[in-house]
Amino acid sequence: MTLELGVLNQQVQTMARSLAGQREEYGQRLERLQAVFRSRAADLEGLQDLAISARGTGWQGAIPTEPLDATHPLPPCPEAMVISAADGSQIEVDRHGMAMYYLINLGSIVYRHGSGAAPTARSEPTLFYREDELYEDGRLVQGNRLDSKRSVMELAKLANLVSPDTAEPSLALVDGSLLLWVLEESRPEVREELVGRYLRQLDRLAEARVPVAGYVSRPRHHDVVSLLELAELAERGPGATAQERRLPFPPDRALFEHLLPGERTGLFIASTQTNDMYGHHRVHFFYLNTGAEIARVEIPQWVAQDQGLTDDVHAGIFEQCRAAGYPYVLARAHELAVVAGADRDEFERMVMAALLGQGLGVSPSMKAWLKELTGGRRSRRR
Amino acid sequence: MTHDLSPVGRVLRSSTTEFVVGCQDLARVPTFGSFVKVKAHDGIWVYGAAYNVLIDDDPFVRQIIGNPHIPREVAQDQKENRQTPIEVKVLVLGYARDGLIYQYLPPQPPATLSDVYPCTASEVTAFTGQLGYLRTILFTPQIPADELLAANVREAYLRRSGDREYLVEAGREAARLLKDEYDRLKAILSRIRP
Repeated sequence: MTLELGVLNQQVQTMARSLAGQREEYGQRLERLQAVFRSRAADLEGLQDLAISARGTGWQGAIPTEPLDATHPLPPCPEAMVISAADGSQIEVDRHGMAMYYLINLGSIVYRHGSGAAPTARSEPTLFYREDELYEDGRLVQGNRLDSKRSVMELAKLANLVSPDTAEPSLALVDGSLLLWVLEESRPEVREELVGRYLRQLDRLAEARVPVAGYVSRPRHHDVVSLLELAELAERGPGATAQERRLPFPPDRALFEHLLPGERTGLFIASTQTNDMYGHHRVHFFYLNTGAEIARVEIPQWVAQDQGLTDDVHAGIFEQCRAAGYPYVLARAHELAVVAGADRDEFERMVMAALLGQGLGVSPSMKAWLKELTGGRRSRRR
Repeated sequence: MTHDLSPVGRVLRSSTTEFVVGCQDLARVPTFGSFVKVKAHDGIWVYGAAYNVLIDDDPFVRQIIGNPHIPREVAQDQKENRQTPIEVKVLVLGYARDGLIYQYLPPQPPATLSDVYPCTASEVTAFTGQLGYLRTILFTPQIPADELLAANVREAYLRRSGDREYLVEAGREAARLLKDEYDRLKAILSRIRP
């Protein structure tokens, strides 16, 4: 055993004490934020002006489009609705492995609400190994890059699943945010290229008028909280600096605990650098009480500006959460995408057999071999 | 050999004496006692009788099972597109090669992922032309042997279009095999009476 639990125990105890100490401070801070929330609830224009002028200074947060305390009751769910979802998982390139390749497994499902019929479910793996697939812009496709590639494939899958002739309302769901995480990319033209690929798939969904939404379970976002902090700072006059900077922001969802099951907040615009690149897909969001939690739902601007489409997203997601407290189609798409350990081992054996069959050497690197001998299985990212 | 029907599932694991079929759709699962076949190496078709169906749970089903409002589409999804396959155990009864039936264990078990088919009426008729396989069922330990024998004989009787002669012969064979076990025999005979 190499993990010195005796040594670690002290650190764990210290961490627990520190977190307990923060709790009181956190509670006070939340109360203060709630007070600001109440006092500024009706001041839509003031908050908008504040947020828009702060954008220039690099501030990121929420721009409200309705009063802060606006709530919308659950609209009736259409009797028939086509709800699709796509999710992906990946096996990253293993530089110490037998060969350089990565795999993306896409799970997708088309669920016909109201039909009583079993949905259509699919798993589709794709192997990437060519030089131009492994390297983009001189860099290995892994981590953040691979994530964004996977996100593009998920959206492309959703756009492919859309049947243009359907008269029924529809809804397309992805797991997590609609805002690509590309800020790790240092060069702006690379960021634009990655975002551009994503937006082209959003274009296809927009043309088909299929509302697309990103569902964030247990959201840690603090965009509205940032806006309230900003408002409070402005109230205290020039020269005031933010207090308690060392504490993490409370999440927005703590402000919306009052929502009744099925109710949602008004719409906010996410003010981030990435969102500025989104054009008419500019991401809006609302918080929704799904009956099981306060979730965050992100939609593009063309959905947000169409009351009918927004209602379909609202009602469709709530309906989807009835079975398991989380959108059923997303849970299934995830299940269809995940590559379990046994499947992964089988896949690696298949690769090895195929390489041997072609007379190719299949020795892993010295480092991988040593790890195999000295430790358990290598841990890899999903 | 041709097969008129589409596969019911694929071999999940196998041994010389039995194999397990993984099925996706509950509606197509072979019924208790029915005949199935699967191709093994060298043109051999292994024949067996389905004797246990296991519908295992998975964490997702566990989570939604207590929910009073499970939508019909969700219930249907979990029946038809199962993530965890339905497992059907099959007792190996013999095999066929070049049109000849052998009622003893095949030289090799079927490979995993081989397609498993239900037997057609003519295949059932050909296989049950001899009754040596009843011994295999009766004397395999740790299976519900008596119930399986009865269900399997009833199935063969029906697939042979109500062949009464077959039923009488099967009853006699059971009586020979169980000549010292009157109670077991009586229970079986009461279960195969048409």
